[in-house]
Amino acid sequence: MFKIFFKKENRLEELIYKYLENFQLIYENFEKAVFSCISEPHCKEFNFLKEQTDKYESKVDDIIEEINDLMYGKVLIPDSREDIMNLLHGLDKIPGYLEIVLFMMQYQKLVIPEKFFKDIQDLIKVSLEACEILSKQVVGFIKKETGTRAFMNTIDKHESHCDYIEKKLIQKIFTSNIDPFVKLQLKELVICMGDISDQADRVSKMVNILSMKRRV
Amino acid sequence: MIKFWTAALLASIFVILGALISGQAGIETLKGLTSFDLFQAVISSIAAALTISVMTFFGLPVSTSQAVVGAIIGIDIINSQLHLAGLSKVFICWFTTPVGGALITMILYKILAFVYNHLKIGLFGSDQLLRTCLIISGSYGAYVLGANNVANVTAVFVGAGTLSISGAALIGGLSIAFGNSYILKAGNGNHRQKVGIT
Repeated sequence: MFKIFFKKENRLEELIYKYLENFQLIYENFEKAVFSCISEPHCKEFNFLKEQTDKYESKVDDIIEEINDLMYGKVLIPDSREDIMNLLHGLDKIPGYLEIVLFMMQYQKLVIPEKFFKDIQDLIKVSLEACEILSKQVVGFIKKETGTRAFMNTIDKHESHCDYIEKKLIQKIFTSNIDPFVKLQLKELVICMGDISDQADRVSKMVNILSMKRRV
Repeated sequence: MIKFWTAALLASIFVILGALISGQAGIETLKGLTSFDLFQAVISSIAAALTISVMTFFGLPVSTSQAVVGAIIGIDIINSQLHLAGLSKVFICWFTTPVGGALITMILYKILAFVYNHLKIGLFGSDQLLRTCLIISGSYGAYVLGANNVANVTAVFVGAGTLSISGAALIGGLSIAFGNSYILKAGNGNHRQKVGIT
């Protein structure tokens, strides 16, 4: 109705959806990169997919920068401004974790022993599912749709499952007879993978609080 | 949220409109309490302004209407001409206004909260709606301020026969509008925070 008077707000909304699209592309590429490499270490495709993930990550940074500019231009009422900034700040940590995992795999030339394949695959799959649900939850929050709490509960379950896999994996790593140095490398990798679902859970809870806060 | 000069301009326009369109009734009511000459009108006006200045100095929020009516009563006592019928109307309003304000606020809050919570608009839509409502309610507030307070500024001069009602409404409206913009611009940050200008 008054859209013509709110050009900056409309631009901000577009940017947030663009951010979420790129966020999705990042975790899709990440998944392909990890899965392509897990069974075939140092595969050619890995470098390409890592570069793609980095490209989308840098695109996301550009979007965040433009959003920051708009926010400092006093777009939105202060309350909404703070909510959106906190939300994006929390959400933006996830691509960072994904990048760290790929970075570790590439530069530490990590070869994941076959006996850990399944658990690592499960950990990545469940973590990325949590990210996908989180993306839907954020869209639902922006569009003021119902179901925010249900999304939060699902993400919470995913996070608990990830914690379980993470602990099980670390235990397996340290009871195996691989090189102690590789054990530490793998432990670090698993912890970093676990951070993905932890952060998704934190952001999801924040979205739920923001959604409740917006009710008068 | 809204730029200072935009807020000041909107407030000024609506204060003047309020004074011109709806200020006459208030002027007539306060005029009914007076039977002053010009000298007494000036004295009562200065006395009311001084009272408000002293209260403001001590950081006490006071009602302009009460200060003006007090000053009018002072002159009426000196003249031995208290207009009890008109005064009782004013006193009743002083007691009913806060109660009415509180009741209307509570009812309006419940209704608007219900409507707002059931609106099918997203975060950005509700932000735009709130900002639009803020501007509309601010302008409406300025309109009723002009309508109600113009009498405080000018009624004694209408009573003294130096101003017509419409002339008083115009001069009063312009004075309040100028005062709003000037005091807000010159005043400290607290003033601006009180009116929601960032």
